[in-house]
Amino acid sequence: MEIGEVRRDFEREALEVKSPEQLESLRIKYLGKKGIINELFKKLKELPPEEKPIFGKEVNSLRDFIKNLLEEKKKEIGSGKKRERIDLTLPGRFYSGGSIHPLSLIEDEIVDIFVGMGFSVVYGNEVETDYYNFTALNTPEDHPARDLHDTFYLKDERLLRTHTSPVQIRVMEKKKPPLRIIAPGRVYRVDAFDPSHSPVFHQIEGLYVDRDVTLGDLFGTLEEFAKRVFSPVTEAMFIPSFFPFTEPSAEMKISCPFCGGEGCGVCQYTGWVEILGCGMVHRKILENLGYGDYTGFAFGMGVERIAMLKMGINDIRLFYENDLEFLEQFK
Amino acid sequence: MRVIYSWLREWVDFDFSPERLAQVFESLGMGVEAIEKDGDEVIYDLEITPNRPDLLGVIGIAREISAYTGNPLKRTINFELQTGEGIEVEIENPDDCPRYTASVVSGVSVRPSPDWLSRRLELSGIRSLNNIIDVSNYVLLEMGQPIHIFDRESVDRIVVRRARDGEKILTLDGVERELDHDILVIASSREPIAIAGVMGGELSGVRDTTKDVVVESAFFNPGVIRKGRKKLNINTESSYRFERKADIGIVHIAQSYTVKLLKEVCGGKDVSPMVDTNPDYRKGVYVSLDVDRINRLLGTDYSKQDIEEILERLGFEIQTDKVFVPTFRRDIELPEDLSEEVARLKGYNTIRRRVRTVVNEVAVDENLTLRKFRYVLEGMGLNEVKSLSFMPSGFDPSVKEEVELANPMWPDRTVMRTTLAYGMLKIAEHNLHRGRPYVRIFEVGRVFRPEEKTMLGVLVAGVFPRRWFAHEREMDFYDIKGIAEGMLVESGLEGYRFVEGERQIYEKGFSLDILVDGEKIGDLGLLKQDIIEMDAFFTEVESEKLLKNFLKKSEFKGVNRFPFVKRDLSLIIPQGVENSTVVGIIREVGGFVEKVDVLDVYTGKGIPEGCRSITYRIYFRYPERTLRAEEVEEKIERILDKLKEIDVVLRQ
Repeated sequence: MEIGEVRRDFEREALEVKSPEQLESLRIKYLGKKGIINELFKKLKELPPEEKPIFGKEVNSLRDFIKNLLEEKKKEIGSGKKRERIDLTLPGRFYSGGSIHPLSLIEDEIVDIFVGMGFSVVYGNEVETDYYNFTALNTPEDHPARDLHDTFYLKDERLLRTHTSPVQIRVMEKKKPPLRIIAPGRVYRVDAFDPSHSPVFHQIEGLYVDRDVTLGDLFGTLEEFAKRVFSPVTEAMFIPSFFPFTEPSAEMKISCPFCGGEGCGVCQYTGWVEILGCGMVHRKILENLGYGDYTGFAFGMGVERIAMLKMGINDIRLFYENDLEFLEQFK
Repeated sequence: MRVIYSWLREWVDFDFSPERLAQVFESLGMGVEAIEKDGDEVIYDLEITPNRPDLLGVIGIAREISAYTGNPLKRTINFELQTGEGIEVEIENPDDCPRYTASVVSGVSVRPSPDWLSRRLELSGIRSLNNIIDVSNYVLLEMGQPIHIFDRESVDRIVVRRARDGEKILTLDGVERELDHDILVIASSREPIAIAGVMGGELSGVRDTTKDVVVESAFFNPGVIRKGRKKLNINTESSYRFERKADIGIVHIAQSYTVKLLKEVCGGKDVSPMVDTNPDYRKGVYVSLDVDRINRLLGTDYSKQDIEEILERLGFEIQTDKVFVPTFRRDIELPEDLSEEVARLKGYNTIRRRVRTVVNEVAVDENLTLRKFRYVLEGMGLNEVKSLSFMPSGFDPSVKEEVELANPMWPDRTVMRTTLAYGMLKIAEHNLHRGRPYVRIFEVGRVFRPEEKTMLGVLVAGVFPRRWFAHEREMDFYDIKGIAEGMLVESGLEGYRFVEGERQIYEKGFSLDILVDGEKIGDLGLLKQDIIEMDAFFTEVESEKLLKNFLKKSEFKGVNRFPFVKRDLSLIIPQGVENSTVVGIIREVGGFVEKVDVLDVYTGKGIPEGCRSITYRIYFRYPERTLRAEEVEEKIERILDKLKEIDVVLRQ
């Protein structure tokens, strides 16, 4: 048998191969133990010595040719399982995740910023005593500052904390400075339930007590916070304020996240929005706890307020209505 | 506090535009709520913090501008009255009323006020009534000192005393009020004629025919005024100032100024000498001045000279190592208070800001634990919600002691929640009402039983809608059980089990308690309360107990490379025998049983009445070698033998 003939036969037969089965029998026919190629190699032995090298070369190249063509053919046919065309446009069997509440997202974000600056997270109780919520915070009975907090009282004369500040006292009672903590949590005030008020809301308290903590440290820390939580170009401004448990006291305003300070409805065309209250821990409080040699700063911010500013939410009740259409926008 | 630009200009020079003045107010700590223009007048609505009653008068705000600009006050009001014997004044307790001044002006005529007076009042938000009343309000606005004017005819003498229990007074607002011993009154010999520092009496007030008047300018104990007015539930311009502690040092000056205006505006003629119960009041306090301490607190390096200049501009007197602070700044008591004044006048925003970075302590972090687990639940397809913390009393009968609100916001929600179920039901209801086919929600929050615990709750309700690859399906018990199982597996807790529960928020016979080491950590079941006739399934677990191992490092236990041997058993199970019993026997008798799956539960054709068929797939595996088929067959035989004892047989 002529090598050229074998080659032509193979090419012709290969053209007709349509299935993996046919391909396999073709392979066996040519490359199998008793296949044509092996037959040709057997013939080689019978040839005179001078013809052997040429013929051997030709058979080898024919074998390589067949091998390659079979490989190509295999790719062309594929694995060969019978598949029908499917409608690729039908919807998939969809497994969606749920959602995280926007207040949790913002709280986490705020916590991370302060943890990154060396603060640790602690929690306080939501039911507090008058002492921790007011008196220990330098707000004795009949202090007009109590009017700023419309308090939910319990029948046993305890109360629902009106701010997270009691955590300051609780922590300082247990542990000596240096202290750097933040305390997120729920707080309560008797308030209308309207677009900007809710009887239940969330705050994050911060406290840093050490030797020689300064007002400049407070302002620097909070400015850094504002830049991280809003944007690197956010500017922070501090204005004097009053809280019974800090002196000096301040409020922080930031350049309006909506208009960038140009003036818009959100900032009432002032370019600035108030976001938190802060100050140096009042000397009387530190002295009462025996930390007269230390100074410290404290701050408290409303999580809802930050979330509303950051996410452009205009009604605080949306957070507590929990409409899934609202919740699912936060992933 | 509403203050008029032009009125301030009478007191102090400044060349700020109205807009610039607003910025100055802010930088000094007076929030500008609004700037209004009325004709050529500009009015500011200022937010005055409770520590600064001195700013509740034009004069106080002018002092701030003076300190800011360095321009001295242009006006002073000199005390002009004679003191001496006048109307008889008796103070029951000087603690209640540390200072009282009174004088009598006769011959006034009651008329409408001149335009300049009524306009100033109205721009300041006070209605003009008649010239006498308007004068008293004018003094209040300008000096921050409340003034009361009585008709001389109803005042034979003045007694400042506590009311007697049950005593009554008809106040200026036309309301008859019952008084008691907590309330301080001004009385004549006969009866109370005013609630001290709060509101005058109708019958002793100025009327059209009034000829002679008694002018009261006093200083009342702030706590007493506050307690009384809260009890009576009144809040007036006067009580607002007194309870924030008015200026004891301006009392006689305001008296004198009122009398002067009564003469000028109301035709007052003769003036009696002024009675003053306490001319020797304390004129101020000393606060130690420590420049170094001020700078250390602020993080600044202001010079002694700078600091002293600021304090002097504020009207304080510098003495070597201390400062004398006059009565109008009663908020200044400590060196720290002085540092705030320095920082305020220097400008908070000129202070150099600094961030001190430190390494925080390593702590078991509840925050991180909860946060990561919330994402596990989110990954399970649940939506996080946050409900309000109030609940109707008795909603959860399993908790005996409720934390009750004394002043609930809503009459139907009077206690703190003992379960997350109530709030979550409301949220589910809202969403189902809005046309959602189903809800699958979770919440992390405190409950009060009565001690506070953080709980994880999950609630599911509704119908999974039909899809091209799935049938419509109502959520059922096994949805919530599966979620609870998923939470338990994800938490890394080992050795949990379920036993039938009795918590009364669930339908009887449709709930399980979740136990770990014999201790209940939560429960799950079908809630008694449904939502629009739809079943709601709920689970609630104590987060601290569930998540105690959640963030612990996992231990590598090796990988078993030997293959499973799987055997399926279809069993006929008589009534009264539960799945857990059968699985228990399979595991106990089967030896190397790694897992038992329930493939099918079937009743109907071919199954005897009252029985069920359950098909199990049992996974046998031995950690050290491949199991031989005979070994497995032998185990199966033994399992079947044991099951026969409870009448569970192989389905043929």
